[in-house]
Amino acid sequence: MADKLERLMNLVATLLNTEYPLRAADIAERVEGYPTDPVAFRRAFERDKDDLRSMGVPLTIVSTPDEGQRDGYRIDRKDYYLHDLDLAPDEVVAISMAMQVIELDGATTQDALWKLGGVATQGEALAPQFAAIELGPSVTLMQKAIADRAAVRFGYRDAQRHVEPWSLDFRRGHWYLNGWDIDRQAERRFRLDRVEGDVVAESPGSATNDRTFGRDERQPWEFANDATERHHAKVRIDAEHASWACHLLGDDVVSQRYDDGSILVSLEVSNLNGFRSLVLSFLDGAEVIEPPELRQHIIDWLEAMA
Amino acid sequence: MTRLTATDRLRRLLAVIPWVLNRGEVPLIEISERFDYPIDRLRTDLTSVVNYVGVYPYSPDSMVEVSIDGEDDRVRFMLADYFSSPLRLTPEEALSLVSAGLGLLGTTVGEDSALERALEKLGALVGLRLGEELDVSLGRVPAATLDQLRSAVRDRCVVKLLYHSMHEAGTSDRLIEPHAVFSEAGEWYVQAWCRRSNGQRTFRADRILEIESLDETFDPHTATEISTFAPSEHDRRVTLELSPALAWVAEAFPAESVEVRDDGFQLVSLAASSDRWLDRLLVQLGPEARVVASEPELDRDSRSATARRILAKYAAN
Repeated sequence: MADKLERLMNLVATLLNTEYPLRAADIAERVEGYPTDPVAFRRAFERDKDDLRSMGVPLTIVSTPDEGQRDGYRIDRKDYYLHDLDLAPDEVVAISMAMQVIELDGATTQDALWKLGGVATQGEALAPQFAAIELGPSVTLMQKAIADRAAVRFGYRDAQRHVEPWSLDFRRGHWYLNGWDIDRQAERRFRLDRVEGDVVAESPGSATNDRTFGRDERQPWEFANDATERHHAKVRIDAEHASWACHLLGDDVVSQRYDDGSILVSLEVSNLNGFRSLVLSFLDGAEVIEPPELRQHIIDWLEAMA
Repeated sequence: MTRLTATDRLRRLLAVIPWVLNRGEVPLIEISERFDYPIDRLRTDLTSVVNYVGVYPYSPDSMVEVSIDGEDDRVRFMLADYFSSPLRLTPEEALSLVSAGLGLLGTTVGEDSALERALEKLGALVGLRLGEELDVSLGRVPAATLDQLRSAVRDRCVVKLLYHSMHEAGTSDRLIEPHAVFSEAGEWYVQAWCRRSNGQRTFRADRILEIESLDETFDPHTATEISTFAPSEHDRRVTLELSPALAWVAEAFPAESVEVRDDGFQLVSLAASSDRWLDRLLVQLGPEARVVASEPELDRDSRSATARRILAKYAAN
């Protein structure tokens, strides 16, 4: 029996090379390696088509213009060939390095590296992997929907959502979708691994609202909270914790340094819970000096437990 | 050696042929290494399979021609123009490349420019504006700190840290023998042998205030699994009763078990590796959290003692 690899390569070469779609009968005749028995041919051909498609080969069926209007097969070169990415050698190395050190689920990453010219391993060991990014199917679907400006529907926390997707980000080990929740008329953020059931994308262009972006770099005590006004807070941090506080908050919040090594930091507070958590993280190493209402809040909080 | 199926070999060959065509000729061994293709299998596939591939009518001028010549077995392809370019990247592959690249951006000193250029070109494939419509963060630690840690792992250098631990007051100096640097759940960590505690420890890189590599090198202690959270059997096990408003706690900390009662309250069991860590958590969570069990037993009064200790500071002024 002819080698399956040889037959698959002949099939790819033939379908890439043909100027017009080939009927199954043409393929049986022109591609070497297929059995002559029609039933056996059909079985082998169906399996080959599945194999090629699962690799991402754009094998398409089109109607042939002959009298019977029978289906013909072809591989469109412009869909098959990798666009020239014009990557310089150091750019290929940089991106391959990223692919090697970050574990991405799914076996497809290896193929992507081969398409860029394989992995240069000569003379050195592979770099160890040090991070993982899981790319589930919903991430790819949302990526396409954002690129297509298509609204999406999906289940989330027991409710159906209708969302114009704006952006995807990977934070704290999870993918998040940011977008406009059409039913709630508000910007929302969804953790993608919590999406229930299938994601259904509507037609391209169906998302029409203007997008807003902005990475949220705010600290927990800076999130606007309806119940809290804005406060200018001053917190004194003792010498033992001063260097950690500077590292955590940045040197520019330090408004005073004292002889005993302690410091006074100034913070803009618009979220009480976030502020309280920060201050208490220092235990008895921090004290809210002003304003009086925040100072009193901490005292009340502690007295409820004392 | 794993057996490669026909499609495993096809996936490789469809990438190998254009890559070699583009270079003219390449030693067999280099192809084998780059494309993870066992060299004997590769040689056989090239000479007895690829060499017979072609299109109708399979006349000599419509067949791929392979030659393997010279001392270092240099491979050449002729008449293979339909395989002149690799197969396009699937949408998943493009997204994988770009996500990995974005994740690595900003984590090495001075090596970003090639990666940035690559991402600029690859960004078009996913159709999203990188950094804006698609962004990946593996943690917020200065590239200089990560670089120094990674070099120390590679060169087996002892490193001196000024470190802020959540388990003790203030900051302290440590001498560590770092084994691995990794990111998990959006934070960078270094796993190391800590000379002060004479044991394996995991340090959060964002709590490193100062870092200095010493001239001294080390012989690695027996390697252990990389993990951020390996509760020890000596750790205290506590069960907290949390009001529905505190449901987030079970997600923010590695809970060993979570039980949701009918009234919406949760019973969450955690390993607490130090009392300071637990005291801090309890005063932060406030009255809506209660310790309902602890092994070994916890001083009933420990949270109120912590609260009183902090209040004393306020009373003094």
